[in-house]
Order: sequence, then C-alpha cells, then structure tokens
Amino acid sequence: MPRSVLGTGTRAPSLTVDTAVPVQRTTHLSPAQVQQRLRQRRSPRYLEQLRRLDAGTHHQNAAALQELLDAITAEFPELGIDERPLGLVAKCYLGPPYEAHICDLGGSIVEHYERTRSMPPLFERARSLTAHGAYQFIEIYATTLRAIGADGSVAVLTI
Amino acid sequence: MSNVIDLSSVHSHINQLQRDMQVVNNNVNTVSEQVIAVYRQQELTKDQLQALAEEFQAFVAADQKEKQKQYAATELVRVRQEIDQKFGHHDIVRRTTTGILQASDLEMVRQNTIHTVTEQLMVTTPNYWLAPALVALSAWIKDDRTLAERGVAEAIRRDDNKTSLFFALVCRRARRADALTRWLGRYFQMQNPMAIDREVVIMLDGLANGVFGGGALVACSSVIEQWLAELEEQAGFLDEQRKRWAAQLDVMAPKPSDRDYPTLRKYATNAPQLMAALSAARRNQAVHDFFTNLFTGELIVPPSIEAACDSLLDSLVSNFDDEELPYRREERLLQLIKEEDGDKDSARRRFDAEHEIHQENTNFAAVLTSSAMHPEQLGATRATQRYAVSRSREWIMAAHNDLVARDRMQVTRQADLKIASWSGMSSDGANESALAADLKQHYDARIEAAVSAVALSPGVWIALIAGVLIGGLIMTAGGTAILIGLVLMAAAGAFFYVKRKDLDRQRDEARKTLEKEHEQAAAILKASLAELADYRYEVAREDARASDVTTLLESLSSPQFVLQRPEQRVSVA
Repeated sequence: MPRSVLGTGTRAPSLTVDTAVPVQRTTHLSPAQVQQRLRQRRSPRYLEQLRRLDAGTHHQNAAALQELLDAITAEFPELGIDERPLGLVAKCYLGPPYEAHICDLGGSIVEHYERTRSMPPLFERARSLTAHGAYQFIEIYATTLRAIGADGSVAVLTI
Repeated sequence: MSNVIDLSSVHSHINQLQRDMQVVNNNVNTVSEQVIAVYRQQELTKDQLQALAEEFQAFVAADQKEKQKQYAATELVRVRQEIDQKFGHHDIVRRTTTGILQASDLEMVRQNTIHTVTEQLMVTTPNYWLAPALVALSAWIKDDRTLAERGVAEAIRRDDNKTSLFFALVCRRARRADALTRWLGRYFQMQNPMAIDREVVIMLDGLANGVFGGGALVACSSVIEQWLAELEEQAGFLDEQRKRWAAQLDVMAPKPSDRDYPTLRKYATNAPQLMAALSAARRNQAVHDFFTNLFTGELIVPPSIEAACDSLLDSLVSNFDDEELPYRREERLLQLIKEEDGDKDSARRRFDAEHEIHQENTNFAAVLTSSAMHPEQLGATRATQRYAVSRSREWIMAAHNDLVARDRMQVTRQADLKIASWSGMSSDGANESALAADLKQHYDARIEAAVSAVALSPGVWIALIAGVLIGGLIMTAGGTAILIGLVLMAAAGAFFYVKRKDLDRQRDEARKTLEKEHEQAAAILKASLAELADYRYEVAREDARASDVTTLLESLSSPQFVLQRPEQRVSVA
C-alpha cells in the first residue's frame, strides 16, 4: 500500500504544469544558458534539504515540506517554473518494503514507494538509477533526468 | 469310456505358452532398452548437432572476419601505393624544406645550389603551395627581395593558412620575434573557430612545446581562449562538445572476453545486457589508465629551438594536405579494420568517433578533442595532447559523468536464468537456497508427471479384453474348443501381467533420467549464482573507479602543461 504523508491520502501525484496560470514562467536566459545553469553543481543547502527528505520530517508537518519546496525554488532563482525540476526521486532508507520516495513539486507531495509498486511514468524512468545508490537523488524533467551526486555534481541523461 | 477330461496336456500347453510369453517379454524388454538407447543416442546427437551448429556459426563469423582482415591489408597496400603515386612528388618538396634550412645553418651549400633546387621543385610540382614558399625562402637566403615577395605572394595565393604558419615557424627558427608575431597575427585573423583548418594543430604544438615564446605565446594563449569563448556562446556548443567527448570515451570500453563468466553467459537469457554493463563499468579503469599514462613520464624535448621548429615544419608540410584527405580517410578505415581483426562494426565505430580529423575544417574545440585522443592522426605531439586534455577537462568530466550515469541506469538488476526446462531470477546470487528449492520442486513435479504418464497403453487393454472375450466365445463351442479358449484367455492374461509388471521399470527409468538432469541443473545453478556474485562484486568495484577518473581530471590545469623550454622563462598567466 502507498504510504501517504501529510494526510493527503493516496491521491496520485500530478505531474502536469498548468500553462494557463499567469505566473512568471520564462526567463531571459536562452535554452543553452538554462541547460548550462542546470549543469552547475548543486548548493550544499539544497543537498542538505533533500537529505532530510528521508528523515521523515516532511511527514510530520507541512512547514517542513514548505521549507523543502522553498529550498528548491531558491536553488534555481533565475529559472522559470517550467525550467525547474518537475520532481525528485531518491533512494528510500526506511527499509523494506520501501525502495524510493518521490517529491512531486507540481502536487507538493512526498510519497514512498514499495519495490513492487510503479511510480508515475515520469518518475519511474529514474527508478533503476535511484536503486543504484550512487546518486543522492534524481531530478526529473520532461525530457531529461539529472542525477545529483553527494558532492552536488550533475550528470545529465536524455530520455 | 471315462468321463474324466485329461487336462494335463492343457496344463503343459499353458506352461509352454507362459514360457513363450516370458521369451516375448524378454524380447520386449530388449527392444525397450534399445529404444531407450536410441533415445539417448538421439539426445546426444542433438547436443552434438547443436554444438556443431554453434561451432559452424563461430567458424563462419571468424572466417568472414579473417577475409575482411586480409581484404583490408591488401586494400591498405593499394591505397598507400595510390597516395605514393599521386602525391609522392610532394615528399621531395617536403624533405627539401628542412634540408634547405639546415644547409643554410651549416653554410655548407652554395646559395645558388639551393636556389636551383627550389626552382626545379617549382617546375616539377605545379599547384603545390610549398614550392613557391621554398622559392621565397631560398630568395630570402640569397637576399633577393623581389623574388622572395613574388614567391610569398604565390604561396599565399595557393594556401594562405599554411603559408602564414610556415613563415611564422621559419621566423621563429630565425629568432625574428616581430616577424613571427606578424605572421601569427595574419594567421589568426583568417581563422574562424567554427570552421578552422586542421593545421591549427601546428599552432597548438608550437604553444604546448614552448616553441612560441614571449609575445607569440601570449598571443596564442589569448586567441585560444577567445575562440573557445566564441564557441561557447553558440547554442548547443557545450552539449555538442560533451557528446563528442562521450563518443570518444565510450569506444574505450573493453570487450568482455569469452573467459568472463562463461556459465552466466550461457544460462542467463539477458547475458548480453549483463556483459554490456560489465564492459561499461570496466571502461572507468580504461579511461583512468589512458589519462594516467598520458600524464606520466617526461616529455622528449627537442635539443634546440631549430630542431623543435624543424619538427613542426615537417608536420605542417606532411600532415595537412587536403587533396590527400579522401585517401587518408580510406587508409584509416582500412587500418582500423585490420587493427580490429576484421571486425568492421567495431572499426566503423572507432572511425566515426574520429571522423572530424579527416574533415577539411571543423570547429576548434573538435580539433582540441582530436589532438587529445588521436594525436598520431594529426601529427600532434604528446605535449599538445596533454595541453588539449587539460584544456578540455571540464567537458571530459561532464561527458564521463553522463556516460557513467547512462550506464548505471542500464545496469540489469536481475539475471534471468534458464537452465533446461527451469527458469528463475537472481539479483546477486544470494538467493541460492530458495532457487535450489524451487529447482527441486520443479523437478519433483516433472518426475511426478513423468511417472504418472507411464501407464498401460490402450492396445494392452484391448488385447486383454479381446483375448478374454474371444476365448470365452470359443469355449462356448465345448469339447477341445474349451481348451483352446482357455489357452487364449490365459495368453491374454499373461500378456497383460507382463506389460503391467514392465511399468515399474519404465517409471524407474523416467525417474532416474530426470533425477540426473536435476543434478546437472543444480550444479549449473550453483555455478551460475557463484559467477553472478562475482559479477556483481566486479561491476560494483569497477563502477566505483568512476570517481578516480574525476579526481584525476580535476587535478589538471592547462597552463601547467605549456612546456617551458630552457631558453625561455615566460609563463602563461
């Protein structure tokens, strides 16, 4: 069974970005500059926030989750929301049966997944890389994955 | 007349019939054994045929490769002969270049002789840029300004880039710093970093080997940075550069040998994926070794600036003639087929990875990559190779990280084993007892099914029923017919009894055959899981070496690889 957090039940995480919302979506950066920015090493603060994801803090209160979302926003201040990660996948250390947890930034939800349960398709692509354990977490984008090492280094995979 | 029927003869007939039936039974047993023997022989033949088919396929593949190798060797000779026939006369001009300079240094040859030689070359090698350049050189030595200017003008008309570099090197050799800077400046002005001629490698060589000192060194260093900055502003350049490096690193993955995990390769249905992951993990060590070897050991420094310039002049006049390019491309592909022992696909992959070397012009970053990975193809020196790698390290690291992530994502989490009729999965060989139990359960079920399947055939039942019925019918006629009927019924009964008794033997035979197969499958399973455990250990160990490559590359910086010649002490900021 899925392990729900924040009392949100087992609703499926939404991965769509509502393009109709009149918020700042694009930046003055060119696509090449955006790619270059996303190549840059991630900051220690960002890594630390993501590290806490597994500690379960986010299950207890919404403030912790908001802090995490703020950290993600702060990591990419110059990028529009459609240029930032759609979500994150990390190895779950809660132990069996859990294998990975996802943070769906669109739906503001953290959810743990058992080995036998499929993640949403966009996140599922990162499953084997997450299970490998060499990366702290995987950032999910529409056409790419970015594997983030413990030192903040970035490896890009085009799907 | 006695009413007692003498059944002794019936009894003896029945006994005789029983003996005959025993003989028939023995014969049936013999036939049965022979059928089993034939079945075993057929299985053996099937295995041998399978092995033969595999050997034949391997032979055909090896034969094709051998033929390709031989063909490549023959074609290589032909292409080289063709190059020699078409461009052999250029060689004389090339050799004359350093010959003139050295003869002039030594003052052992009369100026008129030098002049005559260059004039002859001008006549015998039409359209070749070097011939008028040599005429200009000899006129310069002879102090004939008019002829020198005409010669230079003609050489520039034929090939401005090469002529500018040529005279830059000649001026450096003659220690004319101002003239060197002007020739280099002229060369730089003509360059477009997006489509640069291959001979720019000579400039890199001059820089990395410390041939260009003082202002020229600073000019070269700054122009390289400027070109790269221009390139980086181009959309998609960095991605292209990372892909270029990824392609170079990817072909360094060693192929798994036949001795690697033979049982796993044979019995895992996803063995190709497992071996691909192994090969990819082993690439880390290959890449690390490549860069370690590159940066290990002293560089051979030419004893004087003259020798260093002569070496660069030789390279300039020998390695970059565009007319020879189509032949050089063909020569390189054939050479790679030969090196890959006739494996055309592998050769093609390697050729594709270095295809930019054989283009007339490409972007400057591609030249840096080619100088780093295939210096022998461009005539670049080891110093240039080190400089190019250190200047490209950010791209190499990014490409390496991307490749490693790609391969980690493709690592197969389970080995899918198929041994005879059984199949199972294991991730690391740790579930041996569970799989062994499953295998046993599988064979227990098969044995049970096989034993149950052994039953009397309908023919036996028909013979029994028919014998009893017909015997009964005959007996109704009375008299001696009773005797005949009894004999017939007894025969049918005896036949049924014998066949029924034989079932136990057949069941035993089926059980033994499957038990033997189970033993063999259990041994294979054990070996496969042991290999799988070793495989996982090796893949994890080799995968961890990925960080060694990053650490090594992070320690490099390009200015440290600009060679300081003894006669100069100017460093790059």
